[in-house]
Amino acid sequence: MDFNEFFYLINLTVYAFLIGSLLLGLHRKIMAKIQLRPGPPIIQYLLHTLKFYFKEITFPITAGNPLYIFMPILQIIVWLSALILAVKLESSLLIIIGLYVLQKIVEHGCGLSSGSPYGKLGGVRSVFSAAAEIPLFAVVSTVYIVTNSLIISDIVSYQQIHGPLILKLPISAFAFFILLVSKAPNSPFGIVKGKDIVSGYLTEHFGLLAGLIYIGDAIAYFVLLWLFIAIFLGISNIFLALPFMILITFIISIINGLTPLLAPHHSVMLQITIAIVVLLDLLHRVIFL
Amino acid sequence: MDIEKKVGIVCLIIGMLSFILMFITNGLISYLFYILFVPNILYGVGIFIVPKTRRKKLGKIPFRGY
Repeated sequence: MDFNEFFYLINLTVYAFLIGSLLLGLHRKIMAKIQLRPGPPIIQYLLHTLKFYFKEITFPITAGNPLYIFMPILQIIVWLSALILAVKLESSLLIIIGLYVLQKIVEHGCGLSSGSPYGKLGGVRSVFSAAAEIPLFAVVSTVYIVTNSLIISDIVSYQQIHGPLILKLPISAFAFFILLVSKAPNSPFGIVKGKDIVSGYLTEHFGLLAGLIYIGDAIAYFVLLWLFIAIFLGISNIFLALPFMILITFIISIINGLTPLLAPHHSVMLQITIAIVVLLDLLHRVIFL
Repeated sequence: MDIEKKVGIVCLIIGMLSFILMFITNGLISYLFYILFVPNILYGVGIFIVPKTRRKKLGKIPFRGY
């Protein structure tokens, strides 16, 4: 790697973090407006991240080191890998979905390493909310059936010739959109970080460690939005994708602002229902097309 | 030295090694070192600029019966 590539990667990382944070701030602002509150400024997520980054920290006496400290670092590692593989290299969709599944290890590890009962509940809930990954693999299979490739650059070039995939695969796009909703804060599917268990797996990761997790979450939000736009709308340029990211955040905020947090079993059953619908769509395409 | 700072030093060493190896290597391996470099440097630098904790009983955080 030379210096030019290094600076490109640094720029990409900072861009993803800034855009992800601002979109999460916008998400919070729109939710507040829907609930007739003034809400915090749009840069609030960014301010929170900086605030936590400079806060004092002490490891809880019950924390299981080194897992406790390793998990926030792993969170950034996972999403930076996804950012480089998706946005920079436009590599295989399957690897990125695999990285998304690694996120569950972060949630589980954060929850269990802290020794807090709330964290443990968050970790346990993250395991059975793994039902959200079933529609994801069905989406990947359906995209493969249509485009004959799992490489993102191939999928984007397919759409430049044949038009956006969202028109051909509306059910898969819907399933992927539900994944975006479940990843956004205050989501009806957000049982892992539900307020009934304080902050779930994040409860005892405070101060600097919370700052690192916030950085990872912002990059994660950017990567997932970019992935949706690249796969279903065929736009891979990070600047051209920006208006669509704002639009999708707007729609997600309206859904999250108007929907209460589902009970864990309702959330899982709803996601399994969506998975069955996408699998039926896949079956239909395999047999009849 | 407390455990937070010890981990910080380890992270700084890993981060700096990754920084050097990133420029020596090419291809996917160099991206791997970049991915290791960013979070380790973030933690390693961060832990030395945060203020020292003012909590009297180290590690005994609230709401756990202490």
